[in-house]
Amino acid sequence: MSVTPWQIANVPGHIVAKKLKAEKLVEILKESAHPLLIVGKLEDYELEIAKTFINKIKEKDGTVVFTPIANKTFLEDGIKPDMILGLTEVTSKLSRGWRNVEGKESFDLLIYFGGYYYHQSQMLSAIKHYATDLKKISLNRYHQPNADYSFANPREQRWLKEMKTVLESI
Amino acid sequence: MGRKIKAKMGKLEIPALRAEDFEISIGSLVTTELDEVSGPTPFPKVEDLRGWDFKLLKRYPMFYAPFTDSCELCTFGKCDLTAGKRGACGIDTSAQQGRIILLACCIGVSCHAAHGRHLLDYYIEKYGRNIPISMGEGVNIEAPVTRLVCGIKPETIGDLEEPMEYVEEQITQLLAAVHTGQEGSALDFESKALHAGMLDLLAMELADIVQIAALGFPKADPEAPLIELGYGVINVEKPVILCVGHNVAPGAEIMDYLETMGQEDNIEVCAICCTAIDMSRYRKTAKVVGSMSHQLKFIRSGVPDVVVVDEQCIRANIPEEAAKIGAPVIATTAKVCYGFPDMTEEDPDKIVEGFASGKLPGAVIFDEEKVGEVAVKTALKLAPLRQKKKTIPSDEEFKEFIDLCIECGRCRRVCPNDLKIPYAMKAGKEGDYEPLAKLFDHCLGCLRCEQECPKDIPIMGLITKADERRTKTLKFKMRAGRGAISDVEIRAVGSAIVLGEIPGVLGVVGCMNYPETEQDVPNLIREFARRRYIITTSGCAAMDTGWQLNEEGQCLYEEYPGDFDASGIVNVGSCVSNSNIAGAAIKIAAIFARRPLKNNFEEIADYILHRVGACGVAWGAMSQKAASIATGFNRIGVPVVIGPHGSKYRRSFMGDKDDDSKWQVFNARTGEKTYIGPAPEHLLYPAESLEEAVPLIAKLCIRANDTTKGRQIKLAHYVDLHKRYIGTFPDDIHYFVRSESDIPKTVMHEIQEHLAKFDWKPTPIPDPTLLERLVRKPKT
Ligand code: SF4
Ligand code: SF4
Repeated sequence: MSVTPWQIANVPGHIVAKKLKAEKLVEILKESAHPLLIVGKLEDYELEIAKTFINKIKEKDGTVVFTPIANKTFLEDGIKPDMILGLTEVTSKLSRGWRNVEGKESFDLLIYFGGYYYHQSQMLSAIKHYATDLKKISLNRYHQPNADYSFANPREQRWLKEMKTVLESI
Repeated sequence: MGRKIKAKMGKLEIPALRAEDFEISIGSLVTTELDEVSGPTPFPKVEDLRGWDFKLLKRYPMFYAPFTDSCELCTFGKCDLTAGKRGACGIDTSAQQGRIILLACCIGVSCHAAHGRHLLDYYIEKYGRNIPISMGEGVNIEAPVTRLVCGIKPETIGDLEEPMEYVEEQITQLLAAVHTGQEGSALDFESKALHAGMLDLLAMELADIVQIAALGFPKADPEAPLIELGYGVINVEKPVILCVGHNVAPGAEIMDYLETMGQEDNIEVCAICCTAIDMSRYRKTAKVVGSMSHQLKFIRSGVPDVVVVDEQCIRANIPEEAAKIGAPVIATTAKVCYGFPDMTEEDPDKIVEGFASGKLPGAVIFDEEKVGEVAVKTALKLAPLRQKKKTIPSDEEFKEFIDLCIECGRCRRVCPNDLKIPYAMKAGKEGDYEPLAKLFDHCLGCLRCEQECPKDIPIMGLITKADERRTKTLKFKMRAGRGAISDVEIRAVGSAIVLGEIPGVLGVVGCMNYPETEQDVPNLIREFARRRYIITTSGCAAMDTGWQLNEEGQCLYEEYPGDFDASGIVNVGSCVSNSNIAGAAIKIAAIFARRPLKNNFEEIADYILHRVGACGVAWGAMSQKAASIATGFNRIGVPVVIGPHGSKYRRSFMGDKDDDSKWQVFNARTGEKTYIGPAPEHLLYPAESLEEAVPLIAKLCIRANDTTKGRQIKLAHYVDLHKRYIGTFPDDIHYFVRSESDIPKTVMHEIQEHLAKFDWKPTPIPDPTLLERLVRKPKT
């Protein structure tokens, strides 16, 4: 059964995301050799998880893009991305065929984490239509039907628990 | 060139001649033709400027983010268009996005054209065709868009009929292309959308000229009066008339009637949206409540005794909300009738009687003068009966409603701004009302939350109540819309803009669909005004510009002058006054560079794109009008940054700075193809946050033709803003340094270090153009 989008009316069509759970996320992350993590505006409760997750992606030799506001968020902690690009800018690059940073392999997984719900939804839609080779997941707790996998709107505490399980397993 | 006239008669008899079934054709009827050499595109059709559009779209291709996966425009559908699939008619998703954008732009331009048409017909009927057009002292180019597109120099409002007919005819052509089985190419849909955008610039100009000429609005006056703004400026002891919408005609008649009856001191007239701006251009006593998001909040406050609506951006549920406070609604245009009975021919006193008895909740009156009389009489009669009945909960109800909340979260999930209402309600249960009060400025006033709540809690009412003590006292100022930028001002700053010494001209415009609060607008403007950018503004954004006080209790309009000069904050007026911002860019080309305007769209747009460091900002863009306005600015070579809600327009125009082939121009001096760098980098971009938008706006003011001194100034701002808003040195600076002389002294070492990491080489500064015909010395 499909999940109701976080913003209830945000129903794009018949191809919608599957429900993401900790085990599935672990499996997807383990399968991916070159993930691209795109971090946008985050909420306070997401920050600690985000810091650890970013480090894990870096350890995996993945690529981390911060949007301008995310860069500002993590500045004090000294966490740096591989690139700073706008949410629209990075998605547009991907839709034009951008697949790797110099010297690295092609991305095999896109992970959107942050940005306003509706903005992230639009960006996932662009990927869905124009970068069909890329697997895409949304990491926030808000269900994004335009992703391939997305959480099913768990409450904050539940999402934190799921994410902690994931972080311990990868 | 005038338009062709053809007359056909069945029979004509005069003493010396008898003729039957004959036609007369007059090659052209020249009325107000501009006395200068004509460019190639008089009254252009879409195909006439298609070549220009394709040049723009090659450099700034569309980036589509479909809002839905399907098309449901015809009964073949719904058709799934996901990822390359085509609909039953053969259309693919890219073309479909272009089609929807074209539709949005047609809706936008239609609104302004229909609005302008109404004003034109109404004031011609009222005052005649010969009202002279004068846009103010020192304004010789009184209608720059009209000159550019139609090649005429209108002298009276009657002269505006011809360009208005042209707009109307072209909209029909464009709208036809949206039908199933017409256009199939995304590129061509976008060319048509760009055409609609250009028509919108023209339609807005015509509408603004009519109202300025007919109603004597401020004319290019940098010291236009300061108007009272905010909930706190309205005297609630008096009967209150609230006007909502964009068409000034009924509001102006209300004020005229008040004056005729000597009642102007006894009744408050206030307004919301662009009607407010234009009423305050007519009479400085008109008060401005605020932007669109205040419509229902203000009605629920119970302050208005009668609500008069005209057109555009009016909430469809005003009748229901007004009925709850016992205020009747007068609808005044055919575009918004709400199902009310047509009382145009009815005796005004009988209508007032119907309103006062409560038997008549609303009426349509297609007679502006009668609207004036009925509104005034109704306010006087109803105010003592209504006693400012409001639907904002009382203190007791407030607490009771909060206690009803079960924190199910349904409200949040329908809220366009994802406001954390359940959290605020929980805090409210614990006696902390601050989180609820804080939602007020973020709330768009849409009521989606209330209809979703299983406990029927009037959520927006609670938010309004929680912040009532503060909002009731809000008092701000907004400079009245001044219309045109004068030729004298253009002459004074044209060279500083084109050479880059004034780092940019911003048009901060648009609706109130902000991702956070309206404070983003004054914050953004303050940042650029103190850096000597010229700020122009209009519409809801112009009101929100005034919606902030500094430590001395001054708003931005008091802090900064109203001149079109460095650090000036220039309120041009309502939505239709946006044409004056485009007009300023056009006039820079005409006055400073002496480029001919007449029918010369491509050349002027090419000039603006490469030389005039202007950037539009529509941070809360919501409407189809905002889509067509932005698209019009794009066609004339001005980039626009929109807020994150703007991603739902589905389409951006984005350049690729890594593809050198996209940044080649002709050097008009030599005919050589020359690289200019990504300046401006994008044409339409939805930014995620102010952190992204602010440095980007500075970057989008960079132009190919900046002098080295101008480029230094622009880069210094870009670097500084990037560091302050994003926290890092911009890693793309090498694209914008053409020679060592472009490097600002303050950041010389950092830039030199950065350049050393790249294979940076100096590039020449050409006389840039995308139009080969403008090359003065052809290649041999
Ligand atoms: S929908 Fe109503 S009951 Fe549910 S959380 Fe919101 S206010 Fe409370
Ligand atoms: S009225 Fe305000 S709080 Fe309610 S859904 Fe609309 S924006 Fe959100």
